[in-house]
Amino acid sequence: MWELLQKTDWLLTTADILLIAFIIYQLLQLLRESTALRILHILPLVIIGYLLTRLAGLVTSALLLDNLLTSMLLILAVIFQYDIRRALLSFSRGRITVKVGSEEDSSGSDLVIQQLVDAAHALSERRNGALIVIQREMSLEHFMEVGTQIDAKVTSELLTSIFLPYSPIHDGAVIIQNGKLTQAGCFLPLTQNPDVAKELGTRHRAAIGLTELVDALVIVVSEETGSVSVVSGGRMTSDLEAAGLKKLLRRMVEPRWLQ
Amino acid sequence: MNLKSILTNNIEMKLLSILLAATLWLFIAFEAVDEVEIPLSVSYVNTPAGLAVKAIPESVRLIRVEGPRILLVRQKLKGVPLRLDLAGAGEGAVVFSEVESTVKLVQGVRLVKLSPVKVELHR
Repeated sequence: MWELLQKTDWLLTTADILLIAFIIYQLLQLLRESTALRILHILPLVIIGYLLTRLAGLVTSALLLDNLLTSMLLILAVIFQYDIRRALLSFSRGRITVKVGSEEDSSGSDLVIQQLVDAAHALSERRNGALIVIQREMSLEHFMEVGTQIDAKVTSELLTSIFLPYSPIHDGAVIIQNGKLTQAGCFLPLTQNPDVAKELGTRHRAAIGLTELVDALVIVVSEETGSVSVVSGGRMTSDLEAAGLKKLLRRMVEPRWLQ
Repeated sequence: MNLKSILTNNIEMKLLSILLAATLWLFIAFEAVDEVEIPLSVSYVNTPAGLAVKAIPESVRLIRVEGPRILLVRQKLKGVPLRLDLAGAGEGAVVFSEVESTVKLVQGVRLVKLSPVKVELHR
């Protein structure tokens, strides 16, 4: 061990380790707040354990840990699949915004956003639960197999009537694609994240679950409290007033996604 | 933002990154194949009566081996024992030319070079 350390150029080694640490840190930043991140804490233990078993000549343990390390890249890719997808999406989305956002005419999208804000406000006042999904880059076709096809202009009146408690499709989600209300009564996947607050109901869990898989943005109106939340990338912004909701939607939804 | 806050901000993740990078470096450094010389631990059996063995200097009883560094560390800790049978040897020099088969190495370590071992017996 000492000979190995003596053979090593300290300056180069330190630079090498710091460079790798910087790359790892940047990757961890992209995966931040993920529960899967905790799994990375055991990776150094596995590596040190492997080296110690090799040193001690524990053949079976070394073989087992060797195989574990060999397949570690694949295991990490599987564990972090949602985080990797989300990180790549946020990366590409940032670039597209710079390129396209300034050129688009936002008047059409502003109208849709205003209708969404009015609908959320009205539903909130009546304490009618609602789940409104806005498609962004990634297609939502997979989640539209169940539901009722509508294909209508987005209006506050239509949205509030869909979510009336006696409406047959009030329990599912409505989907907005390219500024049109295309589907209602859709079922969304619930989040499996154990860190999600226990007090959150099925609507909020569905909103988080969907946005963990795709880059869509979801507006949730709580049936119990009437509070309006926006969920994106598995993260929720709660208790939004009309002005706050409008500001957030204008920031997070590019005009081209509503035209 | 000053240097202290840059270093201390998100400290847990920064430490985890350094720990991961350091263990990765250790893993790669120890898994890299290297070649080293290790002194043989020579012992003698059946030394003829009335004769004594002249100690072999360490510089000439070296074995050259290669393998992953971690296994070379293990080999060094274990040493390389070599038992020489002096039965029937007379006074003077005795050369053991084929001792490779008697040398036991750690699994994964390969013998590169082992010069004939020359033992001198005197009264």
